[in-house]
Order: sequence, then structure tokens, then C-alpha cells
Amino acid sequence: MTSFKDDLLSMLPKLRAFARALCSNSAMVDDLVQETILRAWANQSTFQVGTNIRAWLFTIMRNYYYNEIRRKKRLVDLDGKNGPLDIVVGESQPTCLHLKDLERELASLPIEQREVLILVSVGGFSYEEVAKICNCAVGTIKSRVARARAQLLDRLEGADVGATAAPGLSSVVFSARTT
Amino acid sequence: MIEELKYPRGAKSGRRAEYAWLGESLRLLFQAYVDEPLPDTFRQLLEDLEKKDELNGRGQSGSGKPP
Repeated sequence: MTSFKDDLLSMLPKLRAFARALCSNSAMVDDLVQETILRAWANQSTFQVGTNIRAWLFTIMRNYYYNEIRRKKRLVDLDGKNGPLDIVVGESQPTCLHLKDLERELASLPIEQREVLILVSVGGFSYEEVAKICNCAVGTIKSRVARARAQLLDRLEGADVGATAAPGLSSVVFSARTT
Repeated sequence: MIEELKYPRGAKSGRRAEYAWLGESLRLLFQAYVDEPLPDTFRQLLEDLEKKDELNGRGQSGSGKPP
């Protein structure tokens, strides 16, 4: 049986990745992770062993993020400065450019749409689980995900056809855009 | 090193294909975040918290409601 500390350690990369997706202010990202660790540790007695620690931690992080926004009333400051995506390019230059493009467009989505898209698309959570994390109805989550996907696709299409464009997808182009 | 973005299997055109492509792109972006080196401060913080708790002792089960 792993300890609570081991569980937290194993979750740190995904926790920080969720923070990166939630908040594009690079200074705030590590604050989010640190505060989540502190709150989770202080409240570990409220965690039911055997339940989903990932959902529990993501909920803590999300609650803290929204509380900070409300408390400091500085959404623009928290969410408006994009840190560079520090990924190794290697031989995947078109993919890297595409991901930077995607990151920029993702950050421009309303936070309510961005968080549910990440949780559903890559977090591995069901709509029901995301509804619980976000404390709202399943239908609301589904419509937010649909709007987020549609907006992202609209924003990403229309650029030059690049090497990362899906074959047969004339309306969707994933390549770097000149701004 | 990030993976090469590949066209996902399944639908080759239409909205479903667009969503599949977007989902694969988001997966790669999230994986790039996951693969970023973690600051050592997080591990150190957990070590410090554990040492502090060793003096007091704590339980681990409860309501399951996040704080």
C-alpha cells in the first residue's frame, strides 16, 4: 500500500500539467501546485482511501484557483501572460509549432470551457466526474466541451496547410499562423 | 522529446474526424506539459511536511470531500 505522500508525488506531473492548462501565468502555475499540495496534506484526513485521488486533487486546485481569482480580482494578471512552452523540438518541428499554436488558442478560451475540455479530452474523466469536479450539471459540461471544441477548431482553421494537417481534412489546418 | 502528431485512426472526414484530430493534439500538448521537468521544491515540500507530521501523527480516512 502506497503512502499519501507517494500518491501525491506520483500525481505531481499531471497536477502541474493541469495547472499549466488552467493558468497560463507561469509564476502562478507553481503557486497553484504548491498550494494544492499544502491543502491536500493539511486535509488528508478528509480523503477516502481507495477513491479517485486525481479528481480530489484537481478539485482542490480548481477551487483554489477560482478563490484566488475572486479574492484578488485580477483575472487578467493571473491568466494573461503566456509562458513559453518548454518542449524539446527535435525532429518534430511542425508538431511543435502546431502545439504552440494550439496552446495560444487554448489559453484564449474562456476558463470554464478550457478546464472542461482538458479534463474530458486528456484528463481521462467522464462527463459525470467533471460535473462533480466543477460542481455543475452534466449537460452544462457537455455544452461547454462542445463550444470549446467548436471554437478551437474555428480558430485553428484557415491558416496555411502545414505538415501536421490531417489528410482529408480540408477545413481543419493545424500549422503555425503568422500573427 | 514530443511525439510526432499523427492522424488518428477512425473517421477520415467530417466533424468526428476534426474532433479526433483535436483530441490527439490536446493529448500531445498535455503530455508535453507532463514531461516538463518538475521543480525540486515540490518534492522538498512534501519531505518537510512528512517530517513535520512524524512529530504529530495523522489519520488518512475521512469524508472524501475536497477542501
